[in-house]
Amino acid sequence: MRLLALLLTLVLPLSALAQEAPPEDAPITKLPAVERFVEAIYPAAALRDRIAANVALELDISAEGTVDDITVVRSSTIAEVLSATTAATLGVVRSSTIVDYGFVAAATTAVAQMTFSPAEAGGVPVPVRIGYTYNFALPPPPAPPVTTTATTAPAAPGIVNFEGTLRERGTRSFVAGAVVTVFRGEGQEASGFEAVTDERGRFVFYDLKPGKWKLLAEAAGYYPLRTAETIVGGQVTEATYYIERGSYNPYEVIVEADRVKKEVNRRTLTSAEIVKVPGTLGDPVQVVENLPGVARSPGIGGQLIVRGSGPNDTGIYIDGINVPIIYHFGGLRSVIPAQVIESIDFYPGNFSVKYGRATGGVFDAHAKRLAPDQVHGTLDVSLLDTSLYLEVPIGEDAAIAVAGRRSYIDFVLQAVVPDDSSVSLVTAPRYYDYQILGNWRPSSEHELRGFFLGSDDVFELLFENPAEANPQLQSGNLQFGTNFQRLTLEHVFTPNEKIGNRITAAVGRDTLNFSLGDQFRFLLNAYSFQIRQALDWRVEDWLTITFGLDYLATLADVEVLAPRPPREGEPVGNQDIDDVLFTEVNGLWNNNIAPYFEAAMELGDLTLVPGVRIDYFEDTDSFSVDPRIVGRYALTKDWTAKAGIGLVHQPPLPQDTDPVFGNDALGLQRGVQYSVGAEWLPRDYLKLDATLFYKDLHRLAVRVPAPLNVDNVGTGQVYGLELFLEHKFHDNFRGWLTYTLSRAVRQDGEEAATRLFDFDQTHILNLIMSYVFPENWEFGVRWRLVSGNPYTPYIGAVLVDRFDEYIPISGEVNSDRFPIFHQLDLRIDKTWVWDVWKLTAYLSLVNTYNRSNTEGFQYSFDYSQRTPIQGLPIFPILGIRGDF
Amino acid sequence: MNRFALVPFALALGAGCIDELPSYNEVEGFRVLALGADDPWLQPRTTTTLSALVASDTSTASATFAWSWCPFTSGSAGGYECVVTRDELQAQIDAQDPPVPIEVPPFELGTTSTVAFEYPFPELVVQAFCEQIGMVEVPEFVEIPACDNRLAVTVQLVAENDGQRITAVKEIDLLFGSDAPQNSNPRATALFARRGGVGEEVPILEDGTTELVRGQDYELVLAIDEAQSEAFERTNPETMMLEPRREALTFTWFVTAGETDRGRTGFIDGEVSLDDARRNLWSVPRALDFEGDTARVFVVVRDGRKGTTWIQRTVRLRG
Repeated sequence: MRLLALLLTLVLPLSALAQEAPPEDAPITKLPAVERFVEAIYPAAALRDRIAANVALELDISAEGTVDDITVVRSSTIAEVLSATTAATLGVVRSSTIVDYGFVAAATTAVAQMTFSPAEAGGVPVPVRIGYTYNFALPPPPAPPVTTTATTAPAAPGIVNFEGTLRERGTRSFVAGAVVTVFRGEGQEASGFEAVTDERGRFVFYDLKPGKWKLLAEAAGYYPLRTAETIVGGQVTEATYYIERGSYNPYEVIVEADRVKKEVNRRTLTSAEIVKVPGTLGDPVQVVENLPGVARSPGIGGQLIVRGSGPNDTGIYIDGINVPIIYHFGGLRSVIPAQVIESIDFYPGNFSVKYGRATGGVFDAHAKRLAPDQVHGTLDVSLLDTSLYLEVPIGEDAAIAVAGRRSYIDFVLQAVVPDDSSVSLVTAPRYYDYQILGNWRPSSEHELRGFFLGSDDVFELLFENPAEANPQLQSGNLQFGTNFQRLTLEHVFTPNEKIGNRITAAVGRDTLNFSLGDQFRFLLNAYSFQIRQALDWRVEDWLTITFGLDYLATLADVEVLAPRPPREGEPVGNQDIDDVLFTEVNGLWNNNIAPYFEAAMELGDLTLVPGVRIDYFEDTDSFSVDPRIVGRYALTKDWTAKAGIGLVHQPPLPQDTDPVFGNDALGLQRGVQYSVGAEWLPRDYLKLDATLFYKDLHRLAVRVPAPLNVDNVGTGQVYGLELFLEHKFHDNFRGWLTYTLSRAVRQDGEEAATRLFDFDQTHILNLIMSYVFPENWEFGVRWRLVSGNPYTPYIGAVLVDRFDEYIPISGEVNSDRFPIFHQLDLRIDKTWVWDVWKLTAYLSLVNTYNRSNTEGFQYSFDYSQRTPIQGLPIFPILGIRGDF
Repeated sequence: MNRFALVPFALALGAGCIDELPSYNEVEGFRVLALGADDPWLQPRTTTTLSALVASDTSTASATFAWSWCPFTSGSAGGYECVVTRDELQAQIDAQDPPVPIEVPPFELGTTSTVAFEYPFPELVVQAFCEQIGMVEVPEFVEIPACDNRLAVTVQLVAENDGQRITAVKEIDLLFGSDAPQNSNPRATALFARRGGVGEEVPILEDGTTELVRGQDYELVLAIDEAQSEAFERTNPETMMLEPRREALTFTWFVTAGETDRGRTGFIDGEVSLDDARRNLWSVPRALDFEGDTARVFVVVRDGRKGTTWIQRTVRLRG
């Protein structure tokens, strides 16, 4: 049997013909062609829900032209209710993964009855295998809406006297494809009419006789709506009905279909999934901390530690644009609320050449893409903060949204801290952030998007007796504030199916203000300008190439008066804060430019994505060339093998290239990332992913004696295994189980001994589960079991008269570990639905069984005794959220 | 750990729990509370007397002392470990060409409770050392150690009592040059107590005859005048210019029974007044909590420039 893979079309490339010669060495001279087409029966439920589909098949065509065998390659449904325009706007194919509408059965039944003119080789009919796609195209929507009669239909469309709109209860979304029936009378007197709602949920009836009519509206996934309407002669009755969905859990609605995977590991989480993960307060970044390859952040959170790399080694982006900080102070909340996010992509390693300047992982959040259908809003009030979101359509093609969030920790602390406390909260800790989003799609080829993000953190303390805190303090006035804004504009141009160009420009400003009287200060005022451009060209069906550019410029004024900060691997607690350094830099330009090229090749079962990125770093006046390649091979329908290798470079931290604090001759840090693994999808909703990874780090910036202070002589190795078992939403259940086995070590120079990385965690286990109960109840669980972080034990102490304190004497670096961490978090949601809005109340119970987890040690004054500093005890967070 | 560094951590942890640990200011067992030198900044060819304020809730009669000094240590980051032996240093000096006829004095200073420490080298040698540091060719980004007419050496005390061993260090500045600045230890003259923070201030006498009532709060008032906060010039790290400053005086309060309201107070010119800093509240223990007939109170005063002094008193507990 000849293997001729033809997808979506019966056209066979001649080159393939030459390679697939028949046994008798005669080339195929004629392709099979459909002689008898059998139309498949369109699944009724799909027709009602306005769902279209493509079913890709492989057919074995006999020498007689009959279909001998059928293999289903894939089936993808397209929810027409989104409309083609919307789907294109979103740039993704959205599919319902919930309902099997029976497309496959219908297609195979029809195709089995079809006959073809046989293929020929040298004029002789021969059997072949071809690819064939059966397209289920929806009939045009009723325009004008068709009124059909059940018993006595009007002879022809007459005068509309009853029209209405069907919307979803709670969300006010239009319900398309619903069958609306009006009827009255019994027996011989019975009469009734049906109409199907269009994509705007509209239906109309003609020439209904005056009087009372019963109305029944039915749509898949919704409770039937029964009501009555009175038709008055000579008048048009207009009505809006709200139909209640069977369940209001967010996962069931629509989930994004998997894009073509071009990475070894990319984890994508949608906003709906993020919000409900227990113990994370619905925060996008905290959710990422539960993915494989990510270590648990000490304390409440606040750091992304990916595959044994430090928090500064992971790139943080919003739509590809760098953001300076990811968390508000304390690590409780990230600066990006979930409600303005469409999804997040997280890459623990072997990421695309689109990303650079990072040797760890990549976190890229995607701002919400607005659908200009109607006004939407959300108000979320919790014990921590309140957030507001409002989305407004502007015409048919544009929409704008504004959002904001403010904490009220300051009010709580002001109330709690007694007036006679030795610490005055001049400005109690508070954070807020704000966002503006805009979408405009003037035509199918062009889309413009705008996103403005701002974040502000501030607190100010006044120690009335600074000497109590530290005898070296010369002031008690502690001020801390961070503030940043980013304005991003994006233009997407898609002139045809083969070309797509995306250009993004962003400007931003970052300020940081830390001071302790005039003794210490860190002032930063920086402007950034970034351009990202990516041109995708689908050269062939199997080949897409991307030319991209990533340009980032910063202009900074920096002033620092502070002791030299401790580095990773160095013990803290014995610093002489009188030993301060001062540096001041004004108008410091730093340009980074990186062109890159990537090719995505789909060679049958094999997908290869080679790429190269060339970076120029002005700060270090150096170039780097990063070749990377990722391969995926579909072993079977359910199994995929994958592997990747790539070179990554990262510039040193700004303080390390400062001539006073560091070494302005410092070079780039380099890493080689390797990973190999496999994916198994035994069910549509079930996925098991195993990945082995290894990372070789070179030229790490480490402390060396003066005069260099810092030099690129450090090395590191990270290796481990990641397991990810994911159960997508199915049978009211969703969840994932992740396990990471990892070891991360460092050598601070050629002569230095190998030591554990500060955040090395041998075992990281996360279990996330959510179950949706009837009546819109949802119950979620998160359980974590993680090795304790390493720490450097103290083996003695010396009283230093000048400090009036003991300073510890450290033992071997990171030679001991904190106890194992484990914690259970619960979340319970209940949603009440009214016609035009819905209300959700939630209770998040952090550390449900009140485990005393050690996050550090508090030592006695002479370091002879210690007691654990424990994490949060059992801690409830209540909140309510209204959506309209 | 630096307690100041714990502030944001504690804020971040919110309601996180920390168990009680022994207080720095409540003397239990054997303690070294301070090291003193008659002259914290030592003039060439002079000698200073080193002493230690030791305390115990029992007795310090059997305490042993071992004093030493070291010109080069690993500093605060390395626990002030001496990084050179006397013989190594002597060998290095002997290897100089032309020869330098200097004998390094022994690092060991004695085993009595107080010892004498003599300016260890000729003034010119100390000065030359500082000048050499400044003349070494280093890249511009390297901070050149500012000797500022003085070079710090470290004295160390290892004290033992009843099996407890304590190591304490103190820096002594060796002055050189004709315009070397001066620094004196601060001086406190007396300690007063005022019951309930009102009424008359009663001097706590050195002979230990002053009686305080158990279960009462007493305001302790240290007699010290503002002149003890010396004016000096400090190099501003931003401008590298000299600027006038006043010493910040810190007062550390220790008691062998009861507890004080504040462990440490401080006078910071323009920020915290001396009158506030020299006062503290002592809750004298009830008989139920402390059976002893007497209690001791210590106040250590530091000037932030290595000058240290202290005052110690014993009181009788009544009631």
